[in-house]
Amino acid sequence: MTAQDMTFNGTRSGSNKGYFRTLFLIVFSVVTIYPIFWLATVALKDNRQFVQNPLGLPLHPTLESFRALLTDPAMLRYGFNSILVSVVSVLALMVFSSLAGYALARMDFRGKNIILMIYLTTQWIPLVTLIIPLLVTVQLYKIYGTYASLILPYIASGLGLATFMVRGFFRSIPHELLDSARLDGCNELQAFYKVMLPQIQSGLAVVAIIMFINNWNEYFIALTLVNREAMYTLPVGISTLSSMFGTDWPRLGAALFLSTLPTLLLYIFFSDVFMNSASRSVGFGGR
Amino acid sequence: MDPKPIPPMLRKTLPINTPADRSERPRRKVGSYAYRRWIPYLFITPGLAVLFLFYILPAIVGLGVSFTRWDALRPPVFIGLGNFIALFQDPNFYHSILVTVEYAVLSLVTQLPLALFLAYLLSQQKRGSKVFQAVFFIPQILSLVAVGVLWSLLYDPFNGPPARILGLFGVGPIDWLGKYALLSLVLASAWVYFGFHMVLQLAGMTAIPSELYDSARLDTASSLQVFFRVTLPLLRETLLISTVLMVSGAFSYSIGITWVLTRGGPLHATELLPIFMYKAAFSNHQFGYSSAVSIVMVIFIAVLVGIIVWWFGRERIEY
Repeated sequence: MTAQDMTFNGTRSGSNKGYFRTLFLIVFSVVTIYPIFWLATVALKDNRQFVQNPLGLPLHPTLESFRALLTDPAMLRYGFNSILVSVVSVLALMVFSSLAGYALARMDFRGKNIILMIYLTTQWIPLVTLIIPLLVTVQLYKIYGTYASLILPYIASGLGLATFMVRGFFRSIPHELLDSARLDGCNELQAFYKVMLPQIQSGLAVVAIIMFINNWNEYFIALTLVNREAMYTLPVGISTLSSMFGTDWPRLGAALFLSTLPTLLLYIFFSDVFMNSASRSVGFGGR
Repeated sequence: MDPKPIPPMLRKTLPINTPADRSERPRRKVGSYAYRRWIPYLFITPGLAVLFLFYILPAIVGLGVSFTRWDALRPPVFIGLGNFIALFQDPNFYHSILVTVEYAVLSLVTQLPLALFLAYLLSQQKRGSKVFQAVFFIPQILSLVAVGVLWSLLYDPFNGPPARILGLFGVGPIDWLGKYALLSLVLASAWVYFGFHMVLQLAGMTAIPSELYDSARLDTASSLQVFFRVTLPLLRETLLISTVLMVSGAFSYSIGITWVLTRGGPLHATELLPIFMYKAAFSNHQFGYSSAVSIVMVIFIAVLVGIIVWWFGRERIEY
């Protein structure tokens, strides 16, 4: 059944009620989107224009703030750090979760139920409660202040969700496929890599998008486990900028926009992915 | 997700796989058992190792630290339940629980009705339903730092749009993040999350069989009656998920937006429990005390979620 079928209050489109409904939805959309729109207008003004007229449209739009940011070595460094940490952790998450998800979906072995329990339990412990112990363990492992001290906790925090999603995808593949692959002489690794993995490509893409956005936006681990400015990711960098720039709102606005660009692009192209995972309440709870 | 069609190279082998042939499958051959037995562990070890080293072990370390007095400079001193005893005598702890509960309740009463109302409208909307959904969902994809900084600009008493617009009507500058800090915080986080809950409730509504509405309409119930007697009770499952996420969120990831927007201030006005925990460690250098708070936090979440699940599950509705 589609949403269109649900005219259970008896009104059909064309009645006044339908117009009021549409009008209300449009007004509410405008209200929702306004803060972001306003931020865009701020970013496109220079400081003088902004002070004179903080609310209006930019009469002489300028990309000066964006240019200043993109030539600022500190900002470029934050951007590089964010890309590196997010991409590496997502790649590792893909590998680890598809391996584990496959074993948990399609193999029988001793201790399987215990491992499933472990994955489930870790999902119920919020990451914020682990900030201090993570700081301790990361120092214990002697990786404090390296990229690994961010990447590995990101992998660990995304692993539960990613593995359960991948496990679900693998379970939806018919059994016959794996059996025939084995009959064709594939060993377990080949069957996994050549036959099963290609079957869940689109599902893996969904997992990758969700994990990327979570890691790209992550703030508290990055704030706590990083000990010098050269290691800041964009969220940490921007949160310090906001106190540093003070009144330079156009620059701050531009920084917020640039830092959101990758997730915004993903959202524009794959908004269905976001809606589907939200309607199954998956994905963005952890932040 | 639908699996892709079976590749042609495999298709010809498929009919062989009838139950009678199962005994012939290679994995039953002598020797392949030993081979297969360690293979699953090869698959699960990498993930499990990372999970153990960076989630489970830290959790155990956190539990250990909570029994010590530790300022991160000198070695930790074991004090048994000392932190927990001190915690339950700390007025600031009770205050932050109160603030967290207020935040959770305010979030529920603002976001749930709004999400339900919008989902209801969208379930009736023929045109552009997807576009409206996509627009309402946008704030959700921003990082909480971006949201926090954006709203701190919006709430600026002089240059912020609300202040300017209210100024036109002669309303003096409102100290959003002062006297009304908690309400302002709830408003900002509602802006982020209402779209998510709306999509969730809409999914629940579209899953309700239309025959139920037909019969309700035959009984000439008004649309408001239909909503409260048919729709709402059948949304039990999605309402449960939304409630659990909002309540557990108040005790955990509410820290992000709160930290950027108010740092728990002014004074302790928006000091949610996770903020209280973070400040104990990184402002006051009481790492043991802070760990005790996080243990209590996890227990709170578990108990509250248990209560919510029980409350929603009191009576089952079959349809």
